Amino acid sequence: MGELTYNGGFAVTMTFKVAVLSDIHAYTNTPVGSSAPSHLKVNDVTKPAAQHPLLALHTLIGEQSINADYLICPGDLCDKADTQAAQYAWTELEKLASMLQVKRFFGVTGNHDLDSRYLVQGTIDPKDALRAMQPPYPIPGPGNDSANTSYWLDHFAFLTDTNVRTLLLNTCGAHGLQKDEMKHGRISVPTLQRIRKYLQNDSGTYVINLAICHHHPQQHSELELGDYDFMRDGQQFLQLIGSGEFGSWIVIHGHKHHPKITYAAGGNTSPVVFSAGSFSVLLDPQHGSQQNTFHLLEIESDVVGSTLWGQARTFEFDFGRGWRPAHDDSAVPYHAGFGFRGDLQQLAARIAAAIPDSHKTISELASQLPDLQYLLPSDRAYLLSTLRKRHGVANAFDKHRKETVLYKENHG
Amino acid sequence: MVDALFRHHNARHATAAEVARTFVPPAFFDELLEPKHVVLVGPRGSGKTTLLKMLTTPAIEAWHHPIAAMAREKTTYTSVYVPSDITWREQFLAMAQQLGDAELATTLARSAFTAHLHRAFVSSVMTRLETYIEPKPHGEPFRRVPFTRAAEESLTRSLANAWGFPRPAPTLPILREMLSERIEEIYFIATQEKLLGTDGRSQRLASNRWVHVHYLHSIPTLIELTNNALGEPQGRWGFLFDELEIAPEWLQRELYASLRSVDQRAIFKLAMAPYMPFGTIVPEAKPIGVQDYTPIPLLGQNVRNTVNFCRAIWDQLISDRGLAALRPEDVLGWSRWSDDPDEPDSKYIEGSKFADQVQELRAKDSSFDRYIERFQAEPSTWAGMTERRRAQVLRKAQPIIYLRNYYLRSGGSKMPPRKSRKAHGLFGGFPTVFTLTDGNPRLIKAVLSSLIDVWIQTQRRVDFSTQGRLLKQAAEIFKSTLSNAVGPQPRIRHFGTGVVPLLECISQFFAVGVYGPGFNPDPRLTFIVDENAPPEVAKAIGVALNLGGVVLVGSNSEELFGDVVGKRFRLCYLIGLLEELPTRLGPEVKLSRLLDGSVQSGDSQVNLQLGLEGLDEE
Repeated sequence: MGELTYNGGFAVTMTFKVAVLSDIHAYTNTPVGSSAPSHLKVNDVTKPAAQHPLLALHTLIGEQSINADYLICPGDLCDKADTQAAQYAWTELEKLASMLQVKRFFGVTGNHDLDSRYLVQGTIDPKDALRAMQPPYPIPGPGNDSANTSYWLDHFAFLTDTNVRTLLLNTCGAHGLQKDEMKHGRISVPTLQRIRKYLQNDSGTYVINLAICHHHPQQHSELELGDYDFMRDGQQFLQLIGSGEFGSWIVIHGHKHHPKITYAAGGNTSPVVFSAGSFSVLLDPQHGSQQNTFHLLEIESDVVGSTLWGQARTFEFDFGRGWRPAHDDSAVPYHAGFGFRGDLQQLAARIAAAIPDSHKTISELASQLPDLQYLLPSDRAYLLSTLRKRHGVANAFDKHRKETVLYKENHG
Repeated sequence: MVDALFRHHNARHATAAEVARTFVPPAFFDELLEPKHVVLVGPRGSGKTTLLKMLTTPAIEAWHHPIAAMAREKTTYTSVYVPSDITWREQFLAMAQQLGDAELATTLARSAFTAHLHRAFVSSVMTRLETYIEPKPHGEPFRRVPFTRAAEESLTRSLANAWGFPRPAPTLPILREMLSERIEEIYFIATQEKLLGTDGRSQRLASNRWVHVHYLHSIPTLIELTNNALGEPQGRWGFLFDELEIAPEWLQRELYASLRSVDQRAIFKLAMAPYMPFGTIVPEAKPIGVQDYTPIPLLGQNVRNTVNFCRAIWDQLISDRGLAALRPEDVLGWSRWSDDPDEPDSKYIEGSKFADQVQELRAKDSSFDRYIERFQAEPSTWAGMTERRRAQVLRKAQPIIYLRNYYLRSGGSKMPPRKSRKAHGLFGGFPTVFTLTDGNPRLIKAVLSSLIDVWIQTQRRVDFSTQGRLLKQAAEIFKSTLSNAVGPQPRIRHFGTGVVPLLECISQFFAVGVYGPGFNPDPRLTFIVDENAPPEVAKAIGVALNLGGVVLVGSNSEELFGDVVGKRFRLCYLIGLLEELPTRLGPEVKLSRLLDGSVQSGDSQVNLQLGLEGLDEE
């Protein structure tokens, strides 16, 4: 599982690829008096590929020969408990999994996937329709009955493969019970305790740990996206997995239709938190120029190390033209990284020293200073600002080379 | 089908490599390639954009043709293709209106054009560098030079500094992007000035040095810097300004006057439509045709050049369809007026097909019968005719004889009505079909493509009736494009209002000369825009000229463009087809006289109820 890099016969680094598309919001019919919720109408064959995110994704995968180890959907397959649309989206994900040649594909439940408002006539249990889907939801494939049962019963399930452990967390487990629960996510205290117990009893060694959930475990309220709907007790969850005791983690979630990469609050071993944005919902222009996104995460780790680093290859959907690498000024640019937690001022000084009289591209500098590849977008922005203010090194995006160029403002 | 083809052939949005793939060089192409100033004059669709793009490095690299090697040898300069944009003029006019200050609007618009030209220059420099060769090049690299990163950065810093940028540019693509941003900034300045008013305006504008950089004055510097960087101190640069008819008038004047430039390293090639009345130029500043530049008219070439050009395009259209070589003569047949090799060497003998035509027409057209009698030109006398007399009496009249015989019914002394116009079969065949296109590439491709496609379907020679139908369809479509013209709308009483009714009026005037009650071996088929023609009518002729509806006749270099008054024109042959007019020149008539509404035909004065009433003032 994943790809191992060897040095002198010993595996030193592991690279693991995860394809992520979240918040699909597929629908069957446009509600009366409303606009369509997403680009994906069930079985819509009228749109050309460049206007259809799924068909355009097929094109992208074919053109760039994209493959991955896992395909993950962190929830909201459908819009407003549209069961037919959920089944449609799930079937399409199965096809995508085949195209990407993944070893596994799975999902977690979003608030739109459950009929927690009892919109569908005859609904008794909000999760019944999901449990009836084929292939089995949320973990298809043979030998996963136990994991699926655990997911519905305990609100979580663990999957393990060589070197990789994945936690699927159902943050909608309480939806449909107490009235207000549907307004936010939750990881209950008992669930936290059961997860802790599992982790303590798991004797396996894992280079990479993934935690997949729908709701954001920490506040994510920029662009007026709201601050009420986060995962209750998510902070405790992050502290648990970020303790360092149970390896290195990356949390991948949906719900907020705004992609973002950060580190959770905590120490050096705090998890990376990746918000996947939305694959195909019709975005609210009031929230800025957000784009629909598809991601290919390339996660790396030292086999015997304690940190995760890597890059997010994010593609944005350009309606009418298809999927294109995210812009340099997007929330998650195409070359966004994560993992470097060192001193940015020192890194800036090293970069400035590495630029002679003529310019260098970021990728050229990264061959000398690999840490450059693993900067969060926010850290990168700070780094570039520091380079300009303290070292007279400016930057500009070269559209021909399709990357950022660094150069001394005064030279000669 | 023809309609789609009219829309299809437009080089404006094609890349240089795409243009090169289908380019057929006209007879004057080698002259255009020469490192000298050129003014290329032609209506819409005549190939100006294609020709200029063919001078650029990417096109030369991608072009595969027997004369491609010659083109590479002659292109000893680097071309900078500078397109115009319909929005230039609109934005300039909007700016002028917004600011209420024409001088400021001109300054800002000139500044925008300067940035536009600099941007085109940067793109052109990139085509010279090995660094920027496409990953999958279309052809053989042409005049590419190796260029170190340090050299590129040194050049871009120098250019950015010369152009007044506050920050340097490390690469050519970044410099190009900065120039795009500058153009945006200029329009922002215009909006800002409108809001801030005139107080403090001088100081604000003076603080932006780059606003006052004039594109013409900047050219020597950018050439110098770039030549030094490339190691080509004598390097020459060709600035190709396209579609100047849609540029603001001040730009048209300045560029035209720049043809007197003495910087040997800068070559200007201007492409413009024929009707461009851009005001006056101070006489001593006015370029002198031939001495200061080479004028190249795209239409109105001689028939042989037109036919050869059409034949070359025909061959390419055949090749594009994957067909084996196919002669137009075999697909179209020989036209009735051509020298068909199957016909007897001399048609001027008793018993020939031509003699039969003459006798038929005599039987139904008394005016023609009188003509033959007057000149004692019965077929029985032809054998004894001198060549000169034959030319005067018969050869000149031949097309008119064919046309009248084909189209006139038997009748008495009154003007016989013409046959149904559906057939137009008389205009089919090679080379008449070629001649009808006037050498206009867009018309050529549209017409010939449709005929070839018919041949592909039937695998038989296309009959004259079908050819006539397709030609008429093409003519109607072409006429409809003229009806969309923006311009003066002179009212022609019973024809309607606008350019098309005006052309219909002229067509009918000429048609009476050809088909009227009196036989005329050399009817009037050209007109002169005299000073008595109403100004709106003259302008409408200008609009028609720019669209290819009329063609300039017999001009010297001074007359190729500019105003229309005093010049001689004919209808384009395709428009003339709709009135079955022959494809030839004829004596001219003054336009004001033509609009009077009466036509002499033989002994009759035909009143066509022509005339202008209540001219619009707009």
